[in-house]
Amino acid sequence: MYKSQTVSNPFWIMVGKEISDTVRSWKFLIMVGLVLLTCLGSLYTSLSDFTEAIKGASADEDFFFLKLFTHSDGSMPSYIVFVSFLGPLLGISMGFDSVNSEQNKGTLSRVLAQPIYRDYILNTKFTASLIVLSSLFLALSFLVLGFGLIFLGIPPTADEFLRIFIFSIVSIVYVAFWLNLSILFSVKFRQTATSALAGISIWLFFTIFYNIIVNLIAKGLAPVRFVSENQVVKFQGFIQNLMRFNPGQLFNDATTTLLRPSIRSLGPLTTEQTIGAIPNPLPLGQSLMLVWPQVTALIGGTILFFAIAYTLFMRREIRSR
Amino acid sequence: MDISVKNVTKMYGTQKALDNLSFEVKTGEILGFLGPNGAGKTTTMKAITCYISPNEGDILLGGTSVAKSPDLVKKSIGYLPESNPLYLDMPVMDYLAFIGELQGVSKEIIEFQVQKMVRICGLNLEKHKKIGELSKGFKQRVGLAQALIHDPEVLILDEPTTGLDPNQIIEIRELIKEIGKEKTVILSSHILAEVEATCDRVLIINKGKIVADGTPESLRKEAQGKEILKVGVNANDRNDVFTSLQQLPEVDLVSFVDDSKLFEIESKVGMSSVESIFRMCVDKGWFLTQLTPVEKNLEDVFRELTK
Repeated sequence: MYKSQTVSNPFWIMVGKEISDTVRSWKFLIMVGLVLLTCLGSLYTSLSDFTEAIKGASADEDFFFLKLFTHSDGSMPSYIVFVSFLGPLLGISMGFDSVNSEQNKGTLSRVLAQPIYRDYILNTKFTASLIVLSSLFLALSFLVLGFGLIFLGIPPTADEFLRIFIFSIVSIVYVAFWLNLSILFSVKFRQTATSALAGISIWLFFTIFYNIIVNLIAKGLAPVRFVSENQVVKFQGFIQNLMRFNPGQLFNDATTTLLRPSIRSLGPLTTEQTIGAIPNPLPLGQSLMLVWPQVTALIGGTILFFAIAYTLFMRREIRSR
Repeated sequence: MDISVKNVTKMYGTQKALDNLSFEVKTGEILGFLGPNGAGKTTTMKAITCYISPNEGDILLGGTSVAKSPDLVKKSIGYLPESNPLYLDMPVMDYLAFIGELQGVSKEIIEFQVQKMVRICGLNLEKHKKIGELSKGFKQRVGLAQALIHDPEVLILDEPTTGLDPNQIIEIRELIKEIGKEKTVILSSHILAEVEATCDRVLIINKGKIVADGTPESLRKEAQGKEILKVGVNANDRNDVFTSLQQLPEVDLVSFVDDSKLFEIESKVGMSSVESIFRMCVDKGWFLTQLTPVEKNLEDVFRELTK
């Protein structure tokens, strides 16, 4: 037997193989093509109407580069709307068959017969997907920045650059949330079609039906016209908290706040609270404090799904076909 | 490296897959594992490869407990599972390098080791192809190459020739025999001729228990019990021959074989009728055309022990 001289860590060998498998797979290439196309499309619509976007006198008008991510001429949604819409699909597509397809093909037992820790299977799949996602989103953000640089002829400010960087990180966390949910389904369900369907169902539920359900609840519980201001604020807060069970809402709250520095609050504000407020953009630190709960909730959900998938996987007895 | 399976019991729910199973395999021995479907062959192999944990008992490889040091043990084992699952999208060379690296083969020799396995397993012409593009026989070779990539001391092969054509079967058998000169090999198969041709020792398992253990030769002899002969006598009246054979003191039972002048004779326990038959033919002036012992083959032994 050959004793190790320069032996690679099996964890990183498996991560390398997973990355290689992912970037070569058609499903990933199709999703990347779709994301790239829509992002470039939204960048085009943003740039074609850019002079209008920076004409106004709001606090956001000085942040030219942030406009590239948030502005649209109306013919297509903006970059952040696309990421919020397609990000979950990308996450689901990368995770829905990660464990069950290997089990169905029997390759899981082959890998487990090697001298590796059992949890490497799940950990490497997550790590590899996260590396691919991070590369993709950072590359996309820098691509938009690069185009902006060519179009505007001025470099982004440090504040803009940091906001865009943090926005990319939040996007990665958001997609990782859906990725872990789909990995969980791939551990739970033996058939890849079932796990894909489960992931897409949850995405559809939160994208379409959840808002309808919350609207129905809001209509049913709406206070009568003559109630105190305090009660109206309380009611609005309640509805907003209900909306925040939707991961898409958390992502939208976080990214909008980061890319629109003029946003000073994510909850209902009374007229009294806004009186005297100077319409200045928030510093990055303040914006971060504002979105911290949203980001924490997304990270918490990601960790929770991973922990459930991990427990299910470690307790399962894997028998070959 | 010796393998020692000690009182291993494995339950799948309420079903007992292995029932207090114990056996040993010595270094350089090729052990054939026989048994009907569901007998516990694959379960035993999986337990040895640390893939499943037994409910009771222990397995030692070179004195190292499988339960206590699975990582150490896995490095000493090359395993070819029954269905030979492979990553079909990976090229042969990349796949072998991947498994080699997982097995802890150092970077300095991984390339050499992959080339060596490609040569040994006859994959040279196919080495740059994706595994999914290979024929079943070549896929089996890739499976064997991956099992050998880290130069293991123990090789466990679960039905290694399933689905191969006769030429491929012979090639793989020769390869296993060659490997078995230096390593401890356990192979399971439904093809009894293969076990007989390849293995030094046969272990027949049924319902999770060992029902026979020995060389193919010793198992046949053990099962034989009485001497059985096929006798051909060229005489005018075959009924006369039949009566004369019955009267021999060593003969227990005589029966006609088809409508020919052939007879099957069963001798009494511990006795041989060969000499008496020969003398009888000489005395009566009959021409003896055939006197062949009928041996039980491994298939008969297998059927007797597992039905």
